[in-house]
Amino acid sequence: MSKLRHQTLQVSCNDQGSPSCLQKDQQTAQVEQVLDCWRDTGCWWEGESEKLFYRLSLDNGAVVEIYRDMEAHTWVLYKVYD
Amino acid sequence: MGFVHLHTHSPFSFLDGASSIEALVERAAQLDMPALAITDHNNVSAAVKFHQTASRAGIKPIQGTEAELPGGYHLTLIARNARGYASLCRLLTRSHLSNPRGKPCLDPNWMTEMEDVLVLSGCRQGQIPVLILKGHYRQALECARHYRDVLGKENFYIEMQDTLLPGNQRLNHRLMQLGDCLDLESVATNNVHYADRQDFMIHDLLICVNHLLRIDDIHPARPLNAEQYLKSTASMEERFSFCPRALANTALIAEQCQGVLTGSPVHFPRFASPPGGDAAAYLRSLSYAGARERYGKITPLVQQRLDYELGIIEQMGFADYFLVVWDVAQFARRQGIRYAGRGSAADSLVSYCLFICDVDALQRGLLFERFMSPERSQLPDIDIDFEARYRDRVIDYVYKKYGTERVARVSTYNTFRARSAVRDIGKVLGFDEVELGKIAKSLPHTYADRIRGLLDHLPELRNSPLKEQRFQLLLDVCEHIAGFPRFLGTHLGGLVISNVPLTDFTPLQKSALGPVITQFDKDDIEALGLVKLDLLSLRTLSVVQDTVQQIQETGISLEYDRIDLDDSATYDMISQGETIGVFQLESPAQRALQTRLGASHMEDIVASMALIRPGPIKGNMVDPYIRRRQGQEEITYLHPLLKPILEKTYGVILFQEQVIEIAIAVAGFTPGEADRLRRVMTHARSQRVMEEIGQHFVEKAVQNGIDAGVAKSIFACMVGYASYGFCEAHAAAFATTSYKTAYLAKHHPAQYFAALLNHQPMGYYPSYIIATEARRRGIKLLPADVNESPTDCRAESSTAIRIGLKLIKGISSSTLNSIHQQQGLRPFASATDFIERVAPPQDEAENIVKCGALDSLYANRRELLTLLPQLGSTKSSLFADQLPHTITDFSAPQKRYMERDLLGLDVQEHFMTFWRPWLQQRGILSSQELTALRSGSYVQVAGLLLHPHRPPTRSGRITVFFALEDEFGLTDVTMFEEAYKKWGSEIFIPSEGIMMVRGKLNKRGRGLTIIADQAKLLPLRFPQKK
Repeated sequence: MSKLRHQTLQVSCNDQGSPSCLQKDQQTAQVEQVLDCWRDTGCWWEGESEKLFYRLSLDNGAVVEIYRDMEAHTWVLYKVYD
Repeated sequence: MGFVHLHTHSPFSFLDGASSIEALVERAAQLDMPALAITDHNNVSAAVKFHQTASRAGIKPIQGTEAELPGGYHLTLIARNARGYASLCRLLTRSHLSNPRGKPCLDPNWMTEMEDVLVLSGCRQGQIPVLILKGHYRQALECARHYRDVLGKENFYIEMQDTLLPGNQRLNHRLMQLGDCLDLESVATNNVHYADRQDFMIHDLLICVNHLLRIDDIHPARPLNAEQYLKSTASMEERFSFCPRALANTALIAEQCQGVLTGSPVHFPRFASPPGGDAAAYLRSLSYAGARERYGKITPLVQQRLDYELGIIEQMGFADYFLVVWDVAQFARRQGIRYAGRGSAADSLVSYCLFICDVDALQRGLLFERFMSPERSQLPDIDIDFEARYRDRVIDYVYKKYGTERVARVSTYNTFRARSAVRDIGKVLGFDEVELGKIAKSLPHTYADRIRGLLDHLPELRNSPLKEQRFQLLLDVCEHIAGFPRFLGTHLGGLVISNVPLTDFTPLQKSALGPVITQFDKDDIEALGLVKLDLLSLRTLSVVQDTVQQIQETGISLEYDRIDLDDSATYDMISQGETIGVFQLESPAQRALQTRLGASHMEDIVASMALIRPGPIKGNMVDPYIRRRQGQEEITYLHPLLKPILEKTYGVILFQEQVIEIAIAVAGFTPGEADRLRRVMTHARSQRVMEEIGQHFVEKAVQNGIDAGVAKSIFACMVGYASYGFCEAHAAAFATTSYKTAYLAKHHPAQYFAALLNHQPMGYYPSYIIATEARRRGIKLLPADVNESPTDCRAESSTAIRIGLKLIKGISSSTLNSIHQQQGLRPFASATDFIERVAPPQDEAENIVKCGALDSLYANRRELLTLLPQLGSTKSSLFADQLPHTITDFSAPQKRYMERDLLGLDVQEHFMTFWRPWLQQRGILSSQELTALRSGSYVQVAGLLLHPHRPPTRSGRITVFFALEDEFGLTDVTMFEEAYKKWGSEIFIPSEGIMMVRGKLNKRGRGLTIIADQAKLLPLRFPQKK
């Protein structure tokens, strides 16, 4: 099961540009492993911007999906797996 | 480390490739790629253009394909060399021909027969990746092991892609693991579908077109992101940092691969069985035998010309090709199938003596070099027209004689054009289909990238919705995909015949129409060294055959081949512009020319063929020619050497052969050089190239003793005419048929026009114009009648044509056969009798009633229509006089309208007849009344709009030509740009109705035209059908 969130968050990246640390509401989690990564252009015909998705396992045991909005340069927590 | 893209889709992946071959190659060159592979879905159609484009850009072209396997799996195949390419062609042919059309499927077992083909395990639709993604690693391993064992380790690579799709990382990890386990090398590809990132949206839209999706629809075939572009080496290195070897292997593979289409020799067909095995000797003996048949005896001139031509034919190795063509023509002769050679082949006396063409090249002084020259490495091109209905029989003969593996129909690339692009892409973008249909119809037939330009240029598009912001994306996409192939079609008559199996050079596949076609069009086929023969179908020849047969059945002896070529009555008819229905002389421009030219011999008809072409019209040379022909202008020559060359065309350069002759006579060119000059002049686009040729011509002319100034003037004339010069041999071949069909129309109009009606659609005009013309000639059209009408239209006498039942819209051949059979038993006694004995389907029965074919048995059509269901279902034995007469019949105009709709013509009176009183009250004239008026009169005339068109003009300004059709014939109308800007939307936006034109009557020669300053649809509506 998973829950869709759509919440902005702060993300630090490593030298390769991959997320290494997530921060939200004064809570911090370190990225243990990048499980997957993909790009999605979304509804380009509606002006939607491209997104770079990451599926991450965190040091607190959670598995989350976050994405970076490539135009707005913001990070969004997209999905949290139970 | 180098990297080469080994998996790239061009537009020949048909709606799955979003960048042109040129764009892909250009991008590869920008990225300093040493090579590039094209791997389209189940075809190699891009091979020739890719080879040419890449070679020009200094990039090694690697040929491949992405084949579909059972289960829909993909596999990437790459030809290592020419042998590998031939293997691919054979495999693809099998995968197409062993499966239903459009569903090619390569059986992996066939791959054991492959030679020099490298196999990559495929994209995410490959069997191995699919198994891994499903979590069946062990099965994936076994599958890879199987390929390795069958193909050999050195021929099978694990293909990895990282196009940033979910699961890519894991997939690639497992693929690497699998490769290590089986000791297989891996390669990195990017499954390229477009050159640049921004072309992703084009790709997405094309996929939507392919899968009939709207832009909002979710579908697994749609790409998730814009990563499938031609990435740089650095980008690929970044993605494949985990496996640099996979990148290096691409460069190693590219190094292994050789160009496969370099310098293909010509693969002439081998004539099946020349006696003694010597094709050249056999051709010689046949040519001389034919010459004796043509001329009675061999004169020194004939011998000299034959020997000259045969020498060149032998030297160039074309003897077998000529024998093949001769054999085809002989088959047609034996079968009594009418045919006529056309094109530059008629420049050859050998063609004439072999009865391939009927133009006597010697008598006409035609230049053989226009057709063939040892100085020109071009394949001969022989086109023959055959009677349309029997053409396929001729093609079958060729298949039987040379074998299906050596014969195939040539394909055409059906491409996106303005209308199709607007419809297809607009639909995906969610525009209303009715609106799109209207918009598409409002566009002229043009290229998809010219729409924007036309919106500002054409008055009828002045208010086009396409100018609105909401359509701008659609127009952008149309511009991008202009010329992209949509599917492979079948060339009208191109047949490739080879001495080697065709599948060494081209895959074969089924066409929509049935025949097996090559995966290349005619130009690419020629580039591959394959020889094409055009066996075209010409309905005119069927008309001729039917006319002659009908005439002979009346007891009149007529030999078509011996028709008097100097019949003054025929020339008089032509000179009056009464040539509707006459082959190649019926267009408005031709009719107008004839009324001024005053043709009195065959040379006038030959010249006419060349005069009404865009070039001469654009070059404004028609009027000077006519003035010289009429003796109103002095005929002068720039140099006495030109007189014998240009005398027959009154000092005007009209034919390509004349350009060649001038170059020979004035500048001392060899015939081959002269033809090369002609070809360069015809195709040269740059001023610089033209200047260089001109300098060369003048230098040689001066060496030949010609004054430099005169030589320059002569060259300037040649430049002016060469670009649109017409091949005289072709003109002469067509002119003969034109004149003879004119003869038939003049002397046997009932038979000729009946035959014309039977073979529609053909020529320039629809059936109703042909019918009006027949009536104008005094021929009575007798209505379709189930008792009186045969299947075909037929001359009942020299002044009457009975309309055939096959003209009835929607009537099936089974109903026609049934009627024909029943007619042979006894006449139909009543409508009931007809329905019971023939039992036509309801919709066909309705059309039979509506068009009046049952009028003689039951006059009230409306009542009969209401009774039809009862007649059919109850098997009633009612007779006509027992039926109730309670329903009022259709009005006469309604009946005429239904007849026109269902038969395609006006049987009794023309539809305009009903409007005549209304028009007369308003002073609107008929076409007949115009003839009595003086030139310059200001008139208003009305009729049904026919064929509005805008041919190119020298000034670039728009001139519109159209005709108005009424009960007496046609009125030709010309509208210049100023009026067109105001009234163009009335003319070019399709609508049903009667058009009124106001303008000045212009009489020239024996013809008339209205120079219109106004064109307006009248508020007259057609009656409802029911």
